[in-house]
Amino acid sequence: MMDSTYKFIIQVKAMGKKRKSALNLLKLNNVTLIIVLIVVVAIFSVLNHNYFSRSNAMNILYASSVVGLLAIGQTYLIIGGYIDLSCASIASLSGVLAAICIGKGIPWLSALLITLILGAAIGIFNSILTNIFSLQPFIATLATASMCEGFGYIICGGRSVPISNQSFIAIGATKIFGIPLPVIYLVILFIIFGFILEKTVFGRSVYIIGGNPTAGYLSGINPKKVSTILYVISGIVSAFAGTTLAARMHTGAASAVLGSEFNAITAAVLGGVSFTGGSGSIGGCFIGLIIIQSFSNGLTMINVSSFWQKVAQGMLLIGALLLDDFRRKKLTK
Amino acid sequence: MVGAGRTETVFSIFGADHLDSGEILVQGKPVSIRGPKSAIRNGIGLCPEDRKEQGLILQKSIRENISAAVLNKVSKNQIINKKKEVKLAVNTVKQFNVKTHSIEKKVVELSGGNQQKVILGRWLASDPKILILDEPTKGIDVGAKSEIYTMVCNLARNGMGVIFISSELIEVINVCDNIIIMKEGSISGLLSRGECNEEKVLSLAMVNKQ
Repeated sequence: MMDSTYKFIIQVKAMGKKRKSALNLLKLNNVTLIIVLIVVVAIFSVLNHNYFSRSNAMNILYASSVVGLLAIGQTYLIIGGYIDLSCASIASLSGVLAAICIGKGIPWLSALLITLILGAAIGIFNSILTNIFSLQPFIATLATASMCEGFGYIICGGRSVPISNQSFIAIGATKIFGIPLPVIYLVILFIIFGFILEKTVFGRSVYIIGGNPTAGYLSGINPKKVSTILYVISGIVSAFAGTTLAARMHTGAASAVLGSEFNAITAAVLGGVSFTGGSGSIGGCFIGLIIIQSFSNGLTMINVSSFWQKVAQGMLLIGALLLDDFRRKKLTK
Repeated sequence: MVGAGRTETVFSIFGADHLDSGEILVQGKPVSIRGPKSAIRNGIGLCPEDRKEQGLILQKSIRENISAAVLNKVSKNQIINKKKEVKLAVNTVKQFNVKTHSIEKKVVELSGGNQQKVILGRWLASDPKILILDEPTKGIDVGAKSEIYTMVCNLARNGMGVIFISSELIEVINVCDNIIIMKEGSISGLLSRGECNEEKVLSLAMVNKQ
């Protein structure tokens, strides 16, 4: 009896050790990413001496904040086997709506809440399209994106809406110890959503429905319910991103962040979130985000035109997809 | 026989399919089942026929596959207790003699028999009163098959109700106490172990009684 108990303990310990080595292997993916980041930073530092500086690092983080928030929603959705192409349009629409609300004298907190509710409602709309009407998430959310973009232009008549309410502007433009609030939002939300994804039952459910929705369903996890929550999260976070951006720019513009869903998805995929569903992490997404922002910031600093930057971004996404493909082949071997 | 409606029947019992009529009793008490989640809560476990399509999350570890149906048992306030989860997985791997060096190994890398043991482990972890096994020995090696027979018999002896679905007659005759034969979506016969032989079962499953 004693003997078998002892053996059991040894076995548990041995398995614990193996677990660690398996974890190290997973971390290797992030190590690769960090190396990519270092290479990117090194190249641009040589090309432009102002690149490697504290203030530019802050610029990069500041510029990442909107795309980063959108990328949180994308990471969750892609891991769960879905996608939301409407996130950037939700953000733009929210910014315009917030500006209009503020213009009508609605207090800043109410204006913020209204946009968050709008984001949640659009999330539910996306969930209805994909879950009840069984439309492909890719096309369904593309349609939503177009609708949100249109509504954005309609409610402002195509003109950008200036914001003068100082307490509203403060939620996007305040600095704490020299760090802009949007950067703080970014870091806090990444930590919170990273924790939820890795440590909670809900986070695990996301991985399970992304890995095998039928198996998840038969294990008591309802993919429809989980994906609805995912779309609502994506909607709310996107709306928050758009609203805080409007505050920081003192303007609500219908075209504010259109196209950013592209960067958000690139960040997630580059960070190891796989389109096959079921794998990836928020931490990886964060590194992916920093890589693409460092990259585009660097291109701007060496005076590459924005047209060529578009080309470069497309190439970066292809690179990220190839890397994902390579990883998967290596891992299933 | 394949196509007689066995899987549909157990899916309905498990709440994964619409129930046309009838009532579900667990230990003599009627229960209302609205979906797999409430079936699990009411003490029913279903080990589906197609383990790769319906059972396993192939790209995930043994640990994550075992805990999938009992996440509430290895968590507190919605936060997963990794230690508990590891312990559950290690215990299950040991109990079922799953051949692996680590519980972090991806399930896709295991053999068919070991994959089946992982799913069985998942369902036993949910501590069911009724365990439904849909073709549990399909496509697995002889050694694993006999381990599964032994396990099923032990579970039944310890008071668990086991519904064992199989198209292999010998298997059914040797393992089961009572045999329900289905044909074209309805039950065509009920035999107890003593009165059962291949001929009787086949005649109930195939011959059209006018």
